[in-house]
Amino acid sequence: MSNDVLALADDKLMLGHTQSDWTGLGPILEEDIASSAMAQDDLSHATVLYEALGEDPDALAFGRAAADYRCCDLVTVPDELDWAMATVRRFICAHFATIVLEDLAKGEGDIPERASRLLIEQRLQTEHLDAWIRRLGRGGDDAKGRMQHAFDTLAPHAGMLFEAIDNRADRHARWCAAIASPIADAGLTMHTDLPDESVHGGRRGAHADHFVEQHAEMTQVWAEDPTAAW
Amino acid sequence: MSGAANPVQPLCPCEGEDPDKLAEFEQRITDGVHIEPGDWMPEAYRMGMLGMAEHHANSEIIGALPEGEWITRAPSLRRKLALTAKVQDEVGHGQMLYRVSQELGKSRDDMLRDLITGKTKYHNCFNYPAPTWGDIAMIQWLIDGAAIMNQKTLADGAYGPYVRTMNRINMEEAFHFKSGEDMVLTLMSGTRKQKKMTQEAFDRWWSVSLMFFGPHDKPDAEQRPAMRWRMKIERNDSLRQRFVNRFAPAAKDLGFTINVCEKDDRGFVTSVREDEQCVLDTDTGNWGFTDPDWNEFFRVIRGNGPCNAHRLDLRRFSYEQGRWVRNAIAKGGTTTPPAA
Amino acid sequence: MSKRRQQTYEFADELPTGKPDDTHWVVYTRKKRDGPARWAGYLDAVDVELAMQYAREHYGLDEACTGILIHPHDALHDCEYGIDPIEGGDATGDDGESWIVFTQRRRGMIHIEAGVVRAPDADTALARARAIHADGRITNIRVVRTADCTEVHPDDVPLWRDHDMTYKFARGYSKGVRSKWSNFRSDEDLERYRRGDIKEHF
Repeated sequence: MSNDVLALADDKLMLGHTQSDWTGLGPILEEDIASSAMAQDDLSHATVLYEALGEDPDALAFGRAAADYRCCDLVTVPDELDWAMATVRRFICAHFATIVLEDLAKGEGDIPERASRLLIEQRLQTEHLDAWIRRLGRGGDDAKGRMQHAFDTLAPHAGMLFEAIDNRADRHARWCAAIASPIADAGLTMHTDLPDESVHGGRRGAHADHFVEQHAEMTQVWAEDPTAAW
Repeated sequence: MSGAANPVQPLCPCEGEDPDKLAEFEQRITDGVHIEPGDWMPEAYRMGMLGMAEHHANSEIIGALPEGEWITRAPSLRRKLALTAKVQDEVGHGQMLYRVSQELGKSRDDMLRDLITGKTKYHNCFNYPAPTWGDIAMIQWLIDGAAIMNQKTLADGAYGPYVRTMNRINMEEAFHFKSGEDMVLTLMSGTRKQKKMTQEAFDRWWSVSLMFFGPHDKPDAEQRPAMRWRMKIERNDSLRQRFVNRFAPAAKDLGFTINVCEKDDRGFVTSVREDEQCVLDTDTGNWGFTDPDWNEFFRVIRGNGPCNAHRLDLRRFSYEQGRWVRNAIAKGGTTTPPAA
Repeated sequence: MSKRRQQTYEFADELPTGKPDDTHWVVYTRKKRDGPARWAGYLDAVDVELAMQYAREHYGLDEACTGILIHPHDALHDCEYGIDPIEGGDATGDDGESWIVFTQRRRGMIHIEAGVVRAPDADTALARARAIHADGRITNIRVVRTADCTEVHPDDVPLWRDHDMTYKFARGYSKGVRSKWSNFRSDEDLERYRRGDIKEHF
């Protein structure tokens, strides 16, 4: 279970990291504000999950070598400040997070309790993103083309969400079911298979080069003096 | 006074207005009565308020950029969250202030387009670089401190919709300032390296924050429309003095040296000397300071500052990159049947 | 700076054609569950679903919030703004549809929800609202058809977040700031400085 917690926390850290960098650059002022609020939720959720592991959240967020992060390959693919890529990725990941949190919320104890509180906020995200997928998919040929391109670009990485986590086949099936209807409703398509377990990626520390760059940027100031207060 | 005395900023730009209505309008302002939508107002007042709210909104939108550059590198989760929330607040303020101008007759899209094509301006201070994390602390402490001082007086203005918006904004500015103060205190309580970085950032931002309040007032500032109509409440010079009175002693207590600096074209400091004028005059209770370089101020305002081009390029990129999304949202919507 | 932001931009000479404003919406929030809706701000959105999403993520998170009410700006009907408190009146009746009434205590201040009247049209609604609410202490009355208002409650949709939000409020820093200042200033100086903060800024 703690593997799943760390994987989800690292996903959320990187999603929040990437999306918060959009603040001030979004396509519509109102949506800029809304997506920044959700980026803050992701960063806050990462903090809550790191705490649940009994560790100092900052030490986990900033103090590990790149290979020790357990975020999946999907969350680190650069979006190049393209809103279609950003939205599709957030949509795919939000549904994955919902499923993992649903599972973590079962049972008694600290982690289930935290997970069930996060789940409520997670559902705000999926609802918001489902609506955006639908709107952009139905927003004319140009938008539809861009959205389909984003799905096509990200689909090969999406299966890696399920690398090295518990109940992967079951979760993959539930996730496919959850995203199918918003995607179809938007007039878009996405197909992903569950990759073979022998394929190593971010969840087992085999990160792409772009993550190593993102990690260096994210930890740059902190690393100037890890013992200092900032 | 006649409008012809100063063709650039006419002193009484009310030619053709009904003199009785104008007198009644001015009396209301003198009596401290707020102007509300639907009230009669001189065209010059409407245009003045529109331009003022638009300039303020532009400043929030461009002001999101220098700090936005550092969200990816904030050195703790709490700082990262706070910086994101702060930049997000600025976008929110821009959105609210654009609405004040929309109500006075200009569409948001026109305002965003005029901003990126340079037809309208934004606050000069955002044309300076923020090369270190220390600069983020300085922007939030000094620049937001200056902004609160200014906006607190603007909330005493006469135009109801602007005043309501300003009260709302000031509530959030308090967070920005406190978060900046916390950063400055943390860094100045920190390592030798942190203190050095913060002093260098202070050197870059002190003169910029003095310029924040604008150039010296004209002797007849109170008689000019901006102040007579309570669009602007306090003289630039008196706000500047209040700022120095609060921040100079605080900076000295924190261990900063208040320097007079020369800068290169990139906004980087090339030489420093301690500002010997920065002492308390016990007779007046005012702190002295060396006037900032007003030639630099006007050079930067005319578009030749260290970061003018970069700020506008990034803003234009955002505008153009987001266009397909705005089009799609306008076209799509919940009522559209599912796509085939 | 953020690496993604460090690119060289190339633009066409001309900007693409612009667009008119989307629908303007007025946003009110409730501080207390049973308290009145208070004006919070504005936003633009193409439809009510987006408008409410935006309102929640912006105004719903500015301060602790237990309800959001929005309506299109075009749906509001304000009576004249009085210089002095507006006069009451004796309009009566309760036929017609429902209208939400907002009042303004003084020019320059915000509109706050005051109640509901029934009326067949906006003018009648204003007249009936005046008779009830113009108590010599308000300068404006606003009515909006209840059917034009959309509201969310935290029972249906979470508004405020459950995780620590103190990072985005001044009070989240007060204690830390105070203790850090004590490295630099005496308690007495510090107290004077803090009072200045409150008096001048907050």
